[in-house]
Amino acid sequence: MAGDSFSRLHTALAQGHRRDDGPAEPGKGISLPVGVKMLLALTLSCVAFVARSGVFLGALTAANAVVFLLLRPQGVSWWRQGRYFVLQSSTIVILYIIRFGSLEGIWDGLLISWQLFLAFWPTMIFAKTTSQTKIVRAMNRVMPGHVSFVLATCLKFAPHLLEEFRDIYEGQVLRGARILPRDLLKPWNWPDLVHCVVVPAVVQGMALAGNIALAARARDFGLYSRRTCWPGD
Amino acid sequence: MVVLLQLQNFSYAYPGTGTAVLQDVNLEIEAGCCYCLTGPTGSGKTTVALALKGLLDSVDCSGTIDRFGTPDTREVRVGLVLQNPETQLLATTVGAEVAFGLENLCVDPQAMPARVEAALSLVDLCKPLDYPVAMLSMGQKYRLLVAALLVMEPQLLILDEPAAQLDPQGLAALCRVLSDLKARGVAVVLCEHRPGPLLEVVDRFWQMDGNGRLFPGRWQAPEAPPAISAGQAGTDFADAPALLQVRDLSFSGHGTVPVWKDVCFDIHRGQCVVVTGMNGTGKTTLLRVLAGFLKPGRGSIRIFDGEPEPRLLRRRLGCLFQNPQKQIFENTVREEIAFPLKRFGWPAADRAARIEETLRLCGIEHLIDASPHKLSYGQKHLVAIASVLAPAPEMLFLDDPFAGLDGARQRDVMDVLDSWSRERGVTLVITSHDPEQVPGLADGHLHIEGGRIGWR
Amino acid sequence: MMKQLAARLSNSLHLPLKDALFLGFCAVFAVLVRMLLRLHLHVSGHAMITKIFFLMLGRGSTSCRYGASFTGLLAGTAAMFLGFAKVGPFIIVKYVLAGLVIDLAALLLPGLFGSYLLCALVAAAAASTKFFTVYAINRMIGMDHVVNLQRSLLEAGGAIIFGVAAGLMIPMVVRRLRAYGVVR
Repeated sequence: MAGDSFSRLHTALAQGHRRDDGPAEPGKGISLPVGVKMLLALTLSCVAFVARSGVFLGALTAANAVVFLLLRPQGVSWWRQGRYFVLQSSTIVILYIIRFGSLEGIWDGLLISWQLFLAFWPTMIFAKTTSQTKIVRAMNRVMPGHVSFVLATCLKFAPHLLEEFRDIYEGQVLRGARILPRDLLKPWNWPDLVHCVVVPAVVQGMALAGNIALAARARDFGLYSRRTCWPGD
Repeated sequence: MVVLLQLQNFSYAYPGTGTAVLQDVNLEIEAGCCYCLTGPTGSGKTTVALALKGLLDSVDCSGTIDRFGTPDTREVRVGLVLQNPETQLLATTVGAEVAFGLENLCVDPQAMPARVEAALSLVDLCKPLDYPVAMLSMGQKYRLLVAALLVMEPQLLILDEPAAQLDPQGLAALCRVLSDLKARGVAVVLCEHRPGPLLEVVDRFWQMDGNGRLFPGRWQAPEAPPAISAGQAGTDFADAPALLQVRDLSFSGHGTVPVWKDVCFDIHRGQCVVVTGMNGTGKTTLLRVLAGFLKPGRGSIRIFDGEPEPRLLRRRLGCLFQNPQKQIFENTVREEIAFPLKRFGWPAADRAARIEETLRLCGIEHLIDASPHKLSYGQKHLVAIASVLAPAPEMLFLDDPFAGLDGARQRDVMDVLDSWSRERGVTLVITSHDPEQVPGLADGHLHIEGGRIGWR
Repeated sequence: MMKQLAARLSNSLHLPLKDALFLGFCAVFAVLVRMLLRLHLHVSGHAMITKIFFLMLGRGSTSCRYGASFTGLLAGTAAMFLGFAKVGPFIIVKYVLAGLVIDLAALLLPGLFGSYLLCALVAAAAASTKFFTVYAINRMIGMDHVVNLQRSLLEAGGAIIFGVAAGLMIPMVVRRLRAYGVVR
């Protein structure tokens, strides 16, 4: 039901920023500095674009496998990743078969699909093995302080806003708004979703943004153009 | 005494509004003194706090704010803790939260840990620097925020409605902190409509009169209705049909530890039951499970002799979650009340009569054509309540409906709910975070503590 | 040096913190709602509806002339760091390009966010950038030119349909926000 989906997403987001920087529960993989992991992820991702031959792709796959075994990310859904690869491959392979004929088309199509898969895999592993706080600290190194603050804060408060969205949705359902999943199968009910849920949720988002901005300015955020960084724990 | 700050003939109106929230306010703040600014909800206390901190847009201000800081800068360092702690906690760990202000002041990172530790010890919050903020209690979060301001070494500390966030132990701890700050020469301003527990540290009172003017002296809030224990109302509901039957209910969410378990209770037609428990004990979760938005881990619920299914409940059950104004979306109060009536198929002629009757019973008939987005906090609250009462639900869930309201507004809301409950037999289930404030209209009191829910 | 350059650019935007945070929320939800659609409805490939909706909402609800591009930059960064980027770091280019189209259109068409037709057209234009980004990425990995063209057209076609659906919701939302007085 819709309530359970909100709860799952909310829990996943909330757990993301419940992890702390210090002595967290021991991970199963090796611990690398965030900058090194980020560089590794970006490099592996970019190399996937130039890996044209089967041999090169094989070597890159082996490199990714080594990284995977070393870092041991938790929560990787092999079903979801596999399904995505199959769906993507099938479109590409079919188009290649039409273009070149069966055998040659299948092999070329599969190689291209594998390349695309290896382009996104490293950044997914990076996200699964790095706490949000460390991601924010890494962002601070490459983005202006104010911009990384905005993104980090919005990621942190996303669960809060999702709760507001959920409260609005559930309250409006009981007021008779036609916004249950089976109601939304009919397009003429979509205006109810926009008016009763989306618009109030946007208003709450603006109000939250205003409150956070006030809280940040109450602690002199923006007083100077640059900010230093808490060294961590 | 050294004067730190002075407001002279200070007036302010929020952009787009016609009326000034503050009118010709005059006040003076001396070092080492504690001031308490009192007044009803919406009278401008928070606006005064923002003005003292310098967060109001100067374009909309008139009058002067004079700062008498250090001889070279004339700036006065002001720390401000606003009302809702949750939207002020900007980091994920204790150390990072306290250090946020130091980052903004470009303090050398090497010097930060020592200053953070010192600030935490000032508020008696003994947690490791890497401790997750999310795992702190509400009282600890508030003290963390105070530490986050104290680390910036303010000369004036302003706290907006601290009593609303803290339990008695937390308030006692805060009193000790404030006494210590006064002894160090820090001025303190408390914006509080219920200063009771903090009276021992207050040196002077100001009051807002509700028209934007400030006077010396203390505003006295009307007394909240007295609490009565279960059964004192004299009405026996045992013979009335049970609308809600809960047996062996447990809920764990996505964690392994149950939020609550083995819950059993019945609620009868016409009854008003208050569910109390501290923040985080699962009051809102209970309402969501009973309404069918969440599936319990174990146990059974019978509501109106059926399973809890939102699609089937929506004509018979009304629900108002926390901060009910966020559900308001129409352009006028009339349209807002009409919305559920239209969705439930009320004929147009009946709708008009019903809208007028509902607004009259809620005491807001004069607002029928007003924009609900431009009303005061208390008026919006009543509009939201009216909109769920209009379709005449048989049962109403209200999640902390008195939060953020002063005594007078609480009484208004209570009167409305009482009349609907007594005269129309609407069954009410109301949650509240404060066990000491069980409303006067309660027939029964359920309390959540330690994962258990039981009658008190 | 890149960080300093970006800081100078960021300072020149003169974006109030409240607006920046609201755009940040639009960016984060552009990524998260997409995830929710996949989780519950198992509807994949509808990414464009959330992308276009939140980019246009960011531009239509604030007075920032680069609102959509800034939202796109943040959304792409969030998607990459949260592991939702199918094409790695190039996800940022995809979001920013769509945002630039919206910002340019808002600059040239003052009544954009009050008109269903204009919103639909701009949404289609922003969604059609998918053709160019998909084509460029596939070209970089060495996909055959004809197959690339076909695949890019297929993906862009679906994207435009969903983009238009998102664009049609925007005037409803922006008009209401103006009636409430939260947006000028």
